[in-house]
Amino acid sequence: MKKFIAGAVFFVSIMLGIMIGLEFHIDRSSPASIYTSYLAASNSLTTVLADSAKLNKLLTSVKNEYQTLNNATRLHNHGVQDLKKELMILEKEAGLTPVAGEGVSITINYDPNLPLIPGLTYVDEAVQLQMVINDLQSVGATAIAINNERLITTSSIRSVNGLTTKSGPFTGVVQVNGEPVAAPYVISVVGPIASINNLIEAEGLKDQFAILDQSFIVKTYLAPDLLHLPAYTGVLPGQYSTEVGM
Amino acid sequence: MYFLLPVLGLIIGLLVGLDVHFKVPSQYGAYLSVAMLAALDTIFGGMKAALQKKFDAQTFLSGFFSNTLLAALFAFVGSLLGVDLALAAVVAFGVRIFNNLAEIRHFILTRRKIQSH
Repeated sequence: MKKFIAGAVFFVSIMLGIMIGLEFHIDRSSPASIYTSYLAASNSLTTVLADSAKLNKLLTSVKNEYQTLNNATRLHNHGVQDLKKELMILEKEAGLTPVAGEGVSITINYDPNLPLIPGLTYVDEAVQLQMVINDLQSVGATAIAINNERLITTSSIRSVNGLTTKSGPFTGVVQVNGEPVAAPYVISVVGPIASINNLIEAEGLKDQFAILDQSFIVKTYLAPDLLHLPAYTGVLPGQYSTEVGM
Repeated sequence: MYFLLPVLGLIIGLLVGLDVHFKVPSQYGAYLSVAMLAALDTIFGGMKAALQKKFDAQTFLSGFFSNTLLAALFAFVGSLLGVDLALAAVVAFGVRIFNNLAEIRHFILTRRKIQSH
């Protein structure tokens, strides 16, 4: 009986020793050691899943926000590009860019060989030029310049008599865009050549100027010999003003 | 000689346990700890019974195995159920161990007093 008791105690002691020994084999530094039981691991998993759902929601929200900002940036860039394109078109239409193309140049100058009308003391050259310009615009001229002064929609052509001391019918000075321009007047027109020539023929412009003792010489420019017109560089309307409410 | 048997067994067991090439997964560490606590409770219960001359080897052995296994099993089942039964086992066995230790101490002290008179 004593042997059995001794055996039992011995056996239990060995078992306890083994258990203590096994305890040393547990890696307490492992990240998994914080999950000391299935319950702890399960609780941690539940927490992580809940956090994961929240993070997923947050991620979706951030992604949407990023998409919105991205779209806005893209739209903004598109808008800027469109506005730049529109600005270029408007500048071209307004005459703020140089133009090259097929067209016609008309040179108007005093011709002493032509018979002078008796009693003609004054010829308003600005009015004559205005007439020609209006006619040219009516046939669809793309760009017009007088002595390299580019005409725009608000350009002015006017006679300034006080600028010369000479007397006679062809002694005036014309101002185009506020800049003095003197004869010979070279009107450069980029536009439909056929229509322009037809207009000159139909209106009898050459004859009209001949009556006023002026030559009217037309020269046609066809590709590749293009007509080059400079850009308008003067003051633009509204440059010195601000719109109300802006 | 019999007094040295538990110490010898403990040393042998410890050497075997340390030498064995078996890595206990850290998540099962809690179950091993509870099982060890149950084993200690049985051992202290056995010591108390031995001092009181009531020791029964069969009760001791069956108590050791049943307590150890059931404690680990309860802790595991508790985890599955979502109730931390390992904590309950720690409290229960802790109380029993301290009770047994107190009784052992009282018994030893009482016997010394009797011997000194």
